[in-house]
Amino acid sequence: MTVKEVSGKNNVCDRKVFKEIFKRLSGDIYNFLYYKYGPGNNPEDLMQEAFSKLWSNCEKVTPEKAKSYLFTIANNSMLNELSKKKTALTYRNNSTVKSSTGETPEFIYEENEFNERLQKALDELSEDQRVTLMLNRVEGKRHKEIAEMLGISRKAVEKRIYKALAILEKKIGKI
Amino acid sequence: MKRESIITKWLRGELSDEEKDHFEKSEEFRLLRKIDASLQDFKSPGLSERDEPEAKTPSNERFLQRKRNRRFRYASIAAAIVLFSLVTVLWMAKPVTDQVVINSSGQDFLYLPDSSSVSLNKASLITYDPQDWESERALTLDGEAFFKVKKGSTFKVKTSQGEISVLGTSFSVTDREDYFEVTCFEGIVSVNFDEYVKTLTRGKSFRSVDHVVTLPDLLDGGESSPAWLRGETRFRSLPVRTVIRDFERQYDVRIYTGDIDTNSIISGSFVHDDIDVAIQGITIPLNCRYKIAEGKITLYK
Repeated sequence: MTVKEVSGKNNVCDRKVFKEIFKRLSGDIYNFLYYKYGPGNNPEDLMQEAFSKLWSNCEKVTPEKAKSYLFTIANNSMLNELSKKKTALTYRNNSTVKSSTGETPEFIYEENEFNERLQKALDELSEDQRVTLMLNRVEGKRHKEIAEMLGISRKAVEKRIYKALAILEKKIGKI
Repeated sequence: MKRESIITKWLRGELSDEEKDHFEKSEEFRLLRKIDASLQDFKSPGLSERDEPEAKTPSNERFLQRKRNRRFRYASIAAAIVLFSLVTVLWMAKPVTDQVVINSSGQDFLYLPDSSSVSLNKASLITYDPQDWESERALTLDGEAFFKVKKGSTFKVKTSQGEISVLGTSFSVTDREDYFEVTCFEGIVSVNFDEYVKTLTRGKSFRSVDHVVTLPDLLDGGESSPAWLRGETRFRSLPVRTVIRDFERQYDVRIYTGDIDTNSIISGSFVHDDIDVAIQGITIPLNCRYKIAEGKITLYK
């Protein structure tokens, strides 16, 4: 991600170009934040924020770089939000800090027991494993595409999916 | 591992017809299919309106909530890649780099994979490998930057002229009656005691015995933790009564000193696992004798 000024008209300051990028990528950025960090961390807001930051910096970004720029900004904004949250928890109440580290997530009492176990197992995957797995199995993204989205190698994508499935298999056991 | 390669091949869609046939009959395949199917229930709700999505804040903190209407469908492995324009083709053809280069023409700010952050001044360049970050936190810098480093493994900044390593911090604190001491083992700590504010670097100590403040050098060499963590209490230039109190705590005994001067200063050590050997750690420097009975020790000249 280079942040040099881009000369000429090859940047995303064109409203039409920007709108097209938004149409194509807003869903992906949203999904990335949703699967990695969960619904409780305002993935939609932060997705919007990423795009508005892209717009403010439009002269510096070419359409080719927009995708990696957006993913990086979105991830950074989320990490920023999360670190603010952590501090807030620490100062508010000491006992809350204890419970926020390493406590098992609440079960959702669903009729389907299998999904209940799957829910718990998903929560226990690492963020990276989870987002990679969901983008592939649920959003249908190919390994190569995921590799570009997340800025890792294709091999790393395969490894994460393999590991995630192995963990899910282990935790869920038999059908 | 055979299982590993089969699954990997399956994930890549590289199984031969024969292997596929065989795999699809396995118990594991059944489980994986069921997991795949159920994962669809955890699909993200997506954006409300594609063109101008409203800012919605989900009310539930729970992660990956199930959708209300369950729709079982298998994830399509072969997703259609839509080619809008030459621009899109260029994106897909872009090689995946495994090193990130951040070059700032103005000031710049970024988070590293572990949430440590870097602020770059104008005309500065940093390079690092995000994939490798978990095993080694190292980057190169050419120019000027400000780092905020999260706790973790050693953080290294390499420049053409020198290398900077960020160390952790470790220190011990003793807070007993009339005896207060802080020793820094690594990093820097600041001690606030009465009207004193003292900064300690590695190997330095702050001590107050009966409100007399000293800055002794208590570490001999490259210790990285206090001796009492390794089965031995060491004391340097402490009054006898302070050492005795520590001994009493360690062995759960009462020590009677008669008319021995407990204000005299001694140095030495005592082990934690042998009371006979240990008490001599005190009696020898004190030049006295001892008698051990049930739960009590008597010292006498």
